[in-house]
Amino acid sequence: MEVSRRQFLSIGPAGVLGGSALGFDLTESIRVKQRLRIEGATLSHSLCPYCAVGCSLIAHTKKAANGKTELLQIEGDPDSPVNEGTLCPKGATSLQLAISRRRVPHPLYRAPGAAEWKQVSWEFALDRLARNIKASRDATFVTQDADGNVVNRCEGVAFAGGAAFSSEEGYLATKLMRGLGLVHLEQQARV
Amino acid sequence: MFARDRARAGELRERYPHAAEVFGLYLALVETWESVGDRVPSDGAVEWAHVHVLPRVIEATAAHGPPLLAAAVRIAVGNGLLAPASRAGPPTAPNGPPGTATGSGGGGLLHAWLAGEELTPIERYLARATLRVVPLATPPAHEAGRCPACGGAPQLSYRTAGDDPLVSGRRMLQCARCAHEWSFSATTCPQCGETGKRTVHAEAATSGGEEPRVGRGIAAGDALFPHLSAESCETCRGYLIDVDLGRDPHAVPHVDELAAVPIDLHMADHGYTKITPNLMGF
Repeated sequence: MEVSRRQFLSIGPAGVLGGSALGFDLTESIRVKQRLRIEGATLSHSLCPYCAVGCSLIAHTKKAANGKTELLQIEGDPDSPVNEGTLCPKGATSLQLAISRRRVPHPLYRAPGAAEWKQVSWEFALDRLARNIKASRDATFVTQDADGNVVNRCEGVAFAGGAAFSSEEGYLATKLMRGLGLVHLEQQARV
Repeated sequence: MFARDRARAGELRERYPHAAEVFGLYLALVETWESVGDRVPSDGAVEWAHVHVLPRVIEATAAHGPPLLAAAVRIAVGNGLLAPASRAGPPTAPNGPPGTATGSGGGGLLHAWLAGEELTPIERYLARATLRVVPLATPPAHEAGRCPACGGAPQLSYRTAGDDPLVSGRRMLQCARCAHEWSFSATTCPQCGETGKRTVHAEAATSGGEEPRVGRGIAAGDALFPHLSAESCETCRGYLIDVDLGRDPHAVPHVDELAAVPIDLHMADHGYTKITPNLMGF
């Protein structure tokens, strides 16, 4: 009997076979599927915030019930020519920088002579920092060097720029610190 | 050549009762492949496979396949539809050597599969099971996400094992057509090239009453598939099963992928389609 390819097509999922395309019994697989707790996480590219190497990260995130994006996991990006999937112990635990419950979320202040830390506002903390910088600058400002040259420099304050500084942030920080007369400036910016 | 496949399939058949039927047929196919694996000629291998391998695949399927598949194959054989003389016509397209996609011309079941023609699940199964022992190498114009050796679509994704837990293994893809493996971006969809909307679906781990979490490095203590997940693209809704050798160095990706039927069903429920159904049609 001549059987056409069209007729053979009918011996398929829409024809003889039901469930699986090739007729496998899916009863147990369906039962297993119903027991599984499968969750989804979105993959995004990111960058380690720590040192000047600039390792690439893959971040796993998920929309939480409250609508916020929740960070679940961080791993090295195997596609990156910089780190090829590797991370140092610090980078590998950078997840804690974002979600650690032990991270201090507010500025704390311990007054001179006090034994206890107390929570303060950002306004208080920044004001205090500014006052301390000014006090240190006033106390250590040098207008002339040993040879009588006018130098107008501050030798009692140093500034260290972070690895994740952009060019613009680095420029701004340098302008500000030079304006204050600082001579001890360090940077580990990678861009 | 197939010792690892056989050992792993036997192990997974015991571990995953839901896939016992799948692995039963797979083990029968392994026997078939081993019986002919060292006799494949270098020229005209596809035609040779049609004559010498396909009948054995049909035999193994009829004896060890699920009842409906066995019956369907018997019907097809009874109707002469799979007879070498009627199905394995020589390639008709003049643009390529025999046994290649460019030279197939759709002249037979195996050539149709190689040419990327639309086949029924049974035809696709028979073609893939037959061609498993045939070396294919037809370097096409390279297309991202396609096999650099033969131009086929990826079957699965796997992560290489690292000696160090701080190292994420590279993502590799395995070809559905020639089983060639190649390195591919961990965050790019092989089907549509999307780079920004990858989602990984895996068994969730919970610790200390927290919300369930997903991610490499976190495996649920009682996970049924600790080393298997699905990676999907939210743009084209395609997905691949991903095998993490970092979590199970003994895994054989193309064998372990056959055990992921419940994950495949979950993905189908959520509107995703596997880029290429595997040998067993999942």
